[in-house]
Amino acid sequence: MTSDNIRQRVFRRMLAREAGTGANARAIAGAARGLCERFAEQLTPLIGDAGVAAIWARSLHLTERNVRGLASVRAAAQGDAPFAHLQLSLEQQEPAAATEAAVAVLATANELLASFIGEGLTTSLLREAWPEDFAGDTTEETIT
Amino acid sequence: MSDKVPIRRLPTGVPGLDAVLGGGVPEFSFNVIAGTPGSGKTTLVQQIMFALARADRPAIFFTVLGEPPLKMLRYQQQFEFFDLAKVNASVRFINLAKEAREAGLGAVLKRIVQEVEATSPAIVIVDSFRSVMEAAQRQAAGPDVQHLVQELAMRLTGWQATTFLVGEFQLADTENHPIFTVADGLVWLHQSLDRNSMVRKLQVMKMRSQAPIPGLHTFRITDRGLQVFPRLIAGPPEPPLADGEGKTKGRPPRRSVGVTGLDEMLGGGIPSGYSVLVAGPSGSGKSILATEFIREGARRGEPGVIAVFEKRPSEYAQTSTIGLDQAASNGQVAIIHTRPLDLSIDETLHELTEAIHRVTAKRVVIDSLSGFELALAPTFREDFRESLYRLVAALTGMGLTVMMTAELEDSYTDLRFSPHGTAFLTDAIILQRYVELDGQLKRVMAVVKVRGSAHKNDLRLFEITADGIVVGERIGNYQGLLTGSPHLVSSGSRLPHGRPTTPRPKS
Repeated sequence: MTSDNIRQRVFRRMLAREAGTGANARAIAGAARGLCERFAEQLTPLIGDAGVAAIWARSLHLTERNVRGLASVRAAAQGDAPFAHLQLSLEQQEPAAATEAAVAVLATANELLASFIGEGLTTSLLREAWPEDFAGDTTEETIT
Repeated sequence: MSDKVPIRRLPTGVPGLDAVLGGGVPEFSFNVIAGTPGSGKTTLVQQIMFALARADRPAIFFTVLGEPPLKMLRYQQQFEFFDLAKVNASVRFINLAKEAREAGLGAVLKRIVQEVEATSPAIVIVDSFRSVMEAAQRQAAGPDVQHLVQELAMRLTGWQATTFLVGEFQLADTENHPIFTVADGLVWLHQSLDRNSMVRKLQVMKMRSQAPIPGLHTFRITDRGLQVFPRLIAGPPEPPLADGEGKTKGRPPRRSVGVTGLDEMLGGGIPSGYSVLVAGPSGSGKSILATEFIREGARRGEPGVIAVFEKRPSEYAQTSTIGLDQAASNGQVAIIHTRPLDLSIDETLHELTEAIHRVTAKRVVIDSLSGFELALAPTFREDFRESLYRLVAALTGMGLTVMMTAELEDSYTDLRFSPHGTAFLTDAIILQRYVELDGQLKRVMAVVKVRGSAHKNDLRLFEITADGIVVGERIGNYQGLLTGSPHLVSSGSRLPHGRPTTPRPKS
């Protein structure tokens, strides 16, 4: 399994846990926003709000090619509350599509960050926020 | 027992820096690391931080404006000292760009103090502090910078933190910038260009409570981070007393050169702790003589180091006379070939000293001075004599017997012993020349001086054979050998001491 698939699997599990079983698009969108904000909170002390904004914009750009409805999010997400627009967009989709879109954005942001500062440091940062989901070492085999 | 407060000094983890600082960084000190962009400031402080940080001595690295932290983390983790396991364990990075941008200096300093008081780090770094100051100056009603910096220094020291502020300051700033008044320590990093060569230098401009080594010290940045080469400060060499000195004074042992006949010419070998210059034209056998000197040392249990500045070490060992490659593999001989063209004298000495300690050397060869001069960065070539003086003083001061080779133009109009004017630095000089005798080009050798010791004044023929150098007889019945136009004289008509038709010696 590739590390991308592992990332997606991890975020899908986290999203399901936060949104609850059989969640509707609204619950999924709220959970996705919560995860994004937690992700950003974790990164901001390290790379600053400008660094987080850069990662977020690029992640949306990379994801919107394959996921419907995200193009408008990036255009709208430049100002305050950038994740509110993602939430709004996801709420308007079917639950399955909303899940896939949210997972894709989070996994892409994770991968992008790892490409800049390394898998080890990225996993170590995310482990602080989600110790169980990013337990173990930094290699793909040990992301549970 | 003294009532004075002891100041603990923290080892920086940067090779060579503790010596330059005067023993490390004083605990709880407030320091400024200054320099131009790209001079290595961030690398230096991160190297110190990762060396010092541990669970009971955590560190906080505040990034402000300047190098984006995303990039800084990306590049800095390429260094060996960057320990991922310490990040968010004993090392925390905190970005303050938002505070600097939106609320100014006061807010940044307040946040630093809050974080420090909340987590009690032992090491605090702010990178870049210059950008904080500039942001403050842009504010319409600028804050009292000196007051804020003084307060920051007081609060951090009071919280038992050792602090490093990093900034792209200019040397002119030192005159009127309040930060330099407040700082306990000020370390300046320079990078200077001379022709195509770039040399990094470091200067400790102040370090309260201790005595740093003054002057500019060269440093290098490699995958392992910074390595500083403390500037060597040596007094004039004190030559050991050789035979012939006062009877009450000790006589150093002699080091055999390993060439039969030459030891005799030298008055019994080279006095231990002497520096010897072997001067001669290209191909005259200087390197072979130097190799013999090292090989003989290895044979006698006196290990040696050869610093090669022309050939590569492998070529040197293979082409040298028998036994040197084996001695090298046995650890009796170290051959070093330092990175050419941008060396400093202190880096050379560092490499030599490491090799000397590794093999517990008693003998050192520098082959050749011309190659050594070329290997130095242009900025150091300008004062080559002074550099060489310091190098020779340091090596002989360690009790080593040093042999250096120098290539001479085979001139018959004057008699020089070194193209560098360095002959006066050495305690002994061996001269090699070509002469034409009986329609053949012959090699001759003479001992020009052995300080404080009797020696032969003969000009002797020598040959280079498969077994090394073989010294022959004194050349008799000729005058003017060094003029290039010797003439045969009968033993009866030859002057007892030979009226010198030789050119006037110049050193």
